[in-house]
Amino acid sequence: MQQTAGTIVWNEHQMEDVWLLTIEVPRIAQRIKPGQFVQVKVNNLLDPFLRRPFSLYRTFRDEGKLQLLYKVVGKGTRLMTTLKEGTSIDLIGPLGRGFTLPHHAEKIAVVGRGIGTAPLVALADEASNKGVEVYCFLSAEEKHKLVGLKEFKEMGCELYLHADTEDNVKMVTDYLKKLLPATQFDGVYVCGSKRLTREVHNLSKKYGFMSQVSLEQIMACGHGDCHGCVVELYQDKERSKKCYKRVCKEGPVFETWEVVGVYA
Amino acid sequence: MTNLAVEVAGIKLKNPVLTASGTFGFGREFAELYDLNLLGGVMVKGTTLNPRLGNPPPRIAETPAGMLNSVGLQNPGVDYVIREEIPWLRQFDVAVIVNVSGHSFDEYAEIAARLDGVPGVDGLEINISCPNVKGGGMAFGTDPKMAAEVIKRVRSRTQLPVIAKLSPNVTDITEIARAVEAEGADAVSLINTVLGMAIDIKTRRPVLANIVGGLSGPAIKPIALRMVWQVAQTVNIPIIGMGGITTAEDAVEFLLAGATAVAIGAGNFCNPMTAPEVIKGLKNWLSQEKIDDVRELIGGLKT
Repeated sequence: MQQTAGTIVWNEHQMEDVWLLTIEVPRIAQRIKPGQFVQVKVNNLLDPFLRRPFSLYRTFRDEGKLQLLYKVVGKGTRLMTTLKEGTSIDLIGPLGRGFTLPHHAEKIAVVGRGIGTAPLVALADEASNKGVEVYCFLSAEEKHKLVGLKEFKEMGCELYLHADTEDNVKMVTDYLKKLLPATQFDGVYVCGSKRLTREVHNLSKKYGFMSQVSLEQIMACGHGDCHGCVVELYQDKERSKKCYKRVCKEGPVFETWEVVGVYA
Repeated sequence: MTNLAVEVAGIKLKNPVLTASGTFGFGREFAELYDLNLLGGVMVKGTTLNPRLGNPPPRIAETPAGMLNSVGLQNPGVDYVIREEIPWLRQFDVAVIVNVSGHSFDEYAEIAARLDGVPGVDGLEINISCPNVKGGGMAFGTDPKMAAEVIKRVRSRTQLPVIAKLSPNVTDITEIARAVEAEGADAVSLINTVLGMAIDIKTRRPVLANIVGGLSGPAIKPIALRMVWQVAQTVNIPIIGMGGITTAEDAVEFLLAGATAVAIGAGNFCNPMTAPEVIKGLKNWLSQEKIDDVRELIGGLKT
């Protein structure tokens, strides 16, 4: 973890309320892993007071750059849309525990809904660079709100898409369900929907694959000190005892068995 | 050479800047960002007799120039703190003050007794002002008789300097300050968070699961400053001032109001480098103003 100044390379509107921020910040870009996040100070003032946490979207390590995909939801993200090219920005990172990609992995699946797809793009990027086959199951309210399509396509991922307005399947994991008897995944990673998280977890129990979920929570410090961002999860695999775990420190990536039945 | 050293309740601080309890954990994460030796002191996370899980989430709500929290003293308990955290902090040349919180007079006294004589503990900050725990915390700090009784019981069980952390959620803070001074408190620290709330108008629900929480950050600085000044007019024991400090200039205001030392709280979240920056800024400001001893500022307010 370091606190360092980055330089905004560009800040581009993508679609609807979604923006893409590219920052030159070699000290973080060269270390951060998929599923980890950075804490962004959106201005130099005391309001908004807290930093905003964003999962890694993509890194360009050779160029020392990283990208954050963000959705405008409030005061902080609204201000972020005004950040201009060349401006300095105060960042802390890399933070938290990222996704686990097994060494032997040959095939993984990512299941994302809406802006929750962002960290899965980083994971798919790393996995496909290592020669791992990536299947993407993407969901959104409407088809034009699907996130990361272009990126996943460029990586050569197999895509399965679903919008709430369509009724060819009930949810995007139905496609995963159809594939599973014949296809073995070394890991399935989900983000952006409690319903999809439950579904992935149930499938993981049936087929025995590792499954992880990335959570989000309002944070203060972002590095484990304040205990502000806890969620109630299962303590251990027996799932008999619950406890509070910090999204910023023990997470943001958790095993689905920790989450399903308590938080999702 | 500018002197930054001060002494509070017999505790020697190489500079008057501490980190406030609950915003700094036990310092482990901050140690990754800067050298903790820079600090005057560390006031570690609120410690109870047994481990505490804390309150249900959500526990944080951002508010204008500040934040609400309802963490509720999640901590691993005093024995763990003595075994794991204090020895780790001993590697630094920094005063360590343990924040003590209880649900009963006996609990406060028992924690104080366990910490007495533990190498590396320089003082106790008795938290009679946490707004986030039921049947304890603030209940002790809003009644002068109860506050006095806590300090009396703690005093009888420890040789360590005792600092009473006062709540701003009272009509007259000077009354509480006088009560704890009378029972042997060596210093007071103020203020703890101001009770507040935030509402999500879309769901029509409180943002915090606990409904109410403690407000901190620059939003409460004027309240804190006023209370430090009032208490400084009333008691003879030193004051550690805190509440919304993010700059050296803020720290100077608290010293002028009568604080001997200051603590950085929520500022640690907004910018983890706040404490070292305040120390550096204070040094620069003093030399700019041609003041060679920071102690000249204490209580220097002209009215």
